[in-house]
Order: sequence, then C-alpha cells, then structure tokens
Amino acid sequence: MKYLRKLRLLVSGLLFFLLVLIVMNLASIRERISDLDTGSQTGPIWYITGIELDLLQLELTLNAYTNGRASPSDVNLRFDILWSRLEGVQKGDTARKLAEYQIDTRPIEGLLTLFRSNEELILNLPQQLLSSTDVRIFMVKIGAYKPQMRNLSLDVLRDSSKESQNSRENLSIINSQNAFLISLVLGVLLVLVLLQIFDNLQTRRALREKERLLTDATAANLAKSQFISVMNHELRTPLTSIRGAISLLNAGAAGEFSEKGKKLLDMAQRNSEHLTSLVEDILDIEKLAAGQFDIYLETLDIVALIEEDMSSFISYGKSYGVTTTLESEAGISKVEVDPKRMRQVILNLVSNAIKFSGSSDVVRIGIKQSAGSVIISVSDSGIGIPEASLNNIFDPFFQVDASDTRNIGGTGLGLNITKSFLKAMGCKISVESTLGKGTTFLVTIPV
Amino acid sequence: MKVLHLIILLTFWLPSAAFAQVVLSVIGGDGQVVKTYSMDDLDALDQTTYVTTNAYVDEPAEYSGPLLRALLEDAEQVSTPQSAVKLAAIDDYMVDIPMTDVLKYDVILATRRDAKTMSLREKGPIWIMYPISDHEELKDSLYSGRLVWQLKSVQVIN
Repeated sequence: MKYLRKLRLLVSGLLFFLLVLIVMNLASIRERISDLDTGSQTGPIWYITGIELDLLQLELTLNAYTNGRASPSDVNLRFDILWSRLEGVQKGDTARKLAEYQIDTRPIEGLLTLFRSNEELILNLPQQLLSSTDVRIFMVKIGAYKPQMRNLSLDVLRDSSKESQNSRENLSIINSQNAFLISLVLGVLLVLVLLQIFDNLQTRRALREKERLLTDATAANLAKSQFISVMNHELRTPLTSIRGAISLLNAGAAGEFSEKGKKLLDMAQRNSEHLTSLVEDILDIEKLAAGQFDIYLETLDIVALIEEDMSSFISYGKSYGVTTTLESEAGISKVEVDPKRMRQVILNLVSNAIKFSGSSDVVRIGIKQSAGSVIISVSDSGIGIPEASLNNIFDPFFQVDASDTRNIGGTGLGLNITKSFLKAMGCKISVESTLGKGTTFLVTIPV
Repeated sequence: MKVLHLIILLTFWLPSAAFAQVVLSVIGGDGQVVKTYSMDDLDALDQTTYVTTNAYVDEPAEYSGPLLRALLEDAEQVSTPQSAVKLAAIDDYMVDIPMTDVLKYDVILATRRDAKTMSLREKGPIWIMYPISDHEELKDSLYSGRLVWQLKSVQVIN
C-alpha cells in the first residue's frame, strides 16, 4: 500500500512536470507567432519596400513638378522622407538585420550619395521649372536605382522568408513536441487511473480480509465460550457425584475407615471441593469476558448483609484455627450494590485472609463511613504480599508463589473476579500489605 | 490662376513657417480636424524628457516633448481605456495604438532629440516615443511599430 502511494505521488509529479513543459512550449509558440506577425510590419522587408515606394513617390512628384503640377516644397517633402528612410536603413535593428542577411547595401549608399550631391539642387528648386536639365538628369539617375531597389527588396524578402520558414519549421517541431507531450500526459493519466483502480481493488480486498478475520474471531470466541460452558457442565456433573460419594463415605455409609483411609478421604474431599470452586470461577470469568454478566443493584444495609454471613466466616475460620471478627461504626449509610455479588466479594476476601493466616491469628472485618463512601476492610496478620507482586494480584491466574497453591489452594482467579464484580457495581478495591506482617484489602463503595 | 495663387501663398508663408506652421492635426471622431498645433503650441504644453533607445537608432538619446495623453486632453478628446489612438505619418504610415499604452506609459510626441529639433530627414519634426529603456516589456518589435516618426495627425477611435 505504501509503495503504491509513493508511486502515485511520483506519477502525479511527472504529470505536473509535463504540464509545465506544455505550458512553456505554448508560451514559446505564442512568442514565435507574434514575431512572425510583427516582423512583417517593422522588419527589414517593410523598410526596404518602403524605400522602393518612396523612390517612386519622389519620381512622381518630380514628374509633376516638371509639368507644373507640384511645388518645390512637395518635392522637398518627398526628398526628405526618402532621405530619412535611406539613413534609417543604416541604423538600429534594420542595419543589423541587413548585415545578418548579408544584403548588398551598396545601392542604398549610392542613392544617398546621389542625394547628397544633389541637395543644393533640390533645396533651391525654382518655383516654376523653365528648362533645368539638372533636374531631368537627377530624375534619370534616381530612376536607374529603381531596379536595384527592386532587387534589394527581393533579396531581403527571400532571406526573411527563409527566416520565417525556419521559424515555421521550429513551430512545427514544437507542435510535434507538444503532441508527444500530450500523448505522454494521456499515458501518465491512464497510469494514474489504473493505479487508482488497483488501489481501490486492494483496499476492497483488505477490507474483505478484515471482515473475514473479524467474523472468524467472533466465531472462534463463540466456539470457545460454548466449549467452556459445555465443559463446565460436563465437569460439574461428575464432580457432584464424586463429592456426594465422598461425603457418603465420610459419613460412614460404607463402614468405618482406618486412620489412613480417613486421611485419604479428607484429601479427596478437599481436592474435589477445590476443583468445584475452580470450575465455578472459570464459569464466572467466562461470563465476565462474554459480557453475559448481570448486576442487580439494590439499596441495602451493608452491615446487616455481612453480619448474616459472619457465622459461616467464623466457622470456616475455626477450621484453620483463625478467629474472625467484625467491627462496624455506627450510622453506616445504605449502599447500592448487588447483594449476591457483594456477598461473593466479601466471602472471597475473608476466605483468602483466613487461608493466608497462621493458626491463632485474627482476621478483622471493618466497616467505616467516610465522606461519599463506605469502606470495608478485611485485614489479616498473615504472610503478606511482596511489593513487586502487589500490582499483579488482580490479574487472572496470578499466584504470589506457585508453591502456595498446593498448601493453601486457590485458582488465582478469585481476586480477578472480585475486582470485576466491584467494577461492575461502581466500587473500587485496593490493597496494602507488609511482607510477614499481614495484608489489608479495602473495598470502597460510593454512597 | 489657382496655381499662381498657391505659389504666391507659399512664397509668403513658407519663410516664416518654421515655428508657426501647423505640424500636427488632432482629428475628431467624424474625421474632421478638431485642433491644429504648431511647434510653438506643442512647446507650450508641459514637457516630458527621458533618455531611451529604440530599434531605429544605434545609441540612446534624450527625447523630449509633450505627453500624448496631455495633448489629447488639451484637444478635449474623450477616450476610455478601450479606445485606440490612430497615428498617421507624413509618408502615410498609420498605426493604431491602444489607449492603455497612453495611460500606462509616458508616451510623448518627441519634438527634440538631445535638445535639438529634428528635421524631416531626422525623423522629425514629431516622433512618437515610448520610454523603452525604463520598461523591459517595451523592448519588443510590437512597440517598435508604434514609434511613428514624421507624425502628421492623431485621432481617438472610440
């Protein structure tokens, strides 16, 4: 995708460059055409043919003068005009152009010399010509220049048409260049369009791939959830039978067992209970992950809720030789929680505290009112949690020390479930612990 | 008789004509002469002077004379930026220049070159001049064609 974008940028740049070239070419065409255009008006042809014309004019005026139909001043006017033109040819751009064309300008110089030698004659023409042969001689002399001027004009015409031929050829070259450039532009545009189409196809393909992956992932997730719930069911059914059978055996349904047999039965019972709680926890986690987890909030007295379970906490503690106490401040506000889930949370924290305490230790449950919240604390004076592990204890399947699992039991899921439940109810949990001195979990319930 | 009259007229008129003689006509929209100018009349207008070169000379020179726009104003010629000015020379050369040139550039009717009047042989007495050396874009053959020498008449074409 990235190289495609780069390629497109490159092609666009090329397109821009080509367009600039075309514009430059067009500008140069315009310039050349305007050269061709104005060249005819002020160029050497115009100037030289002008000489020819003025020469004819002078001749005509002289003729009219000799016939008494023009005045000396008319002759002077034509004389001066032609003079200015003859001198003008020898200056500026025209002179440069004639030199460039290598035109023989001797007739012009000759005519000018003739003019200079006859200046006096023309300036002092009598009002009425009686019989001046000088004027007639002058007329014959300038008449002799007419064919020369004609040839000069033709020479200039030939050379300048050669020049305009050149610029026409140049124009046609530029034209074919432009045609080539335009076909290049069309080609580049085609490439751009193809790139765009290719890009679209790619994008569509990528999108379809993503959709497929998403569908697959959703299907896989669904399959996993289904698998776990089936497994839970399949596991729980035989587990219930195993536990029932063990309780029956413990109750003496198959007669008395030896000390060793009782010990083995106890072990079997403990482990089957552990397995049951593991299956339950996994089911909870799965429900949390799948979002199929319902919370039913009720406004209730949290102290009463905990007091209801105190007897089972106390008896559970006794089995570990641990004393469990409840200390509650007076005037605790009612809170809005799901009673079932809150019970699970407290049970989890208290049973953890009992499990990690030494015998004859005390587990304290405290309920305190603070501004905007009710805080439940569960403290033990057990082994504590190393500081490095404090951040991880709420992660699923996290155990502070893997070896503890065997001694104390647990899935490593309890605190993760606890935190998820509390979060769903809008509560927070935090932990303070000193290694070897004990741990306190604090549950903050907003009021 | 007619010729004789003309001759007599010319005999008396020509010698004193150097400056009082009509050198330029301003032609109105109807083709009639609206106002004529002698050299003295042109000199009486505000003068503009600049040094410039052009396609018809080898060396730059100082040209001076009244601004074309000032002349048109003096002759009370109405124009718009879309107008053109028809310039005609004694040798019947004719060119139309756009009014925008006249408004944008200091186009003058040069009556002096290096402070000297110009004879007919020197492209005088009036030579239309553009300040070519001051504007790069004027160094173009298009503008060379507009430098009418031996100017005879001026006409606004609306």
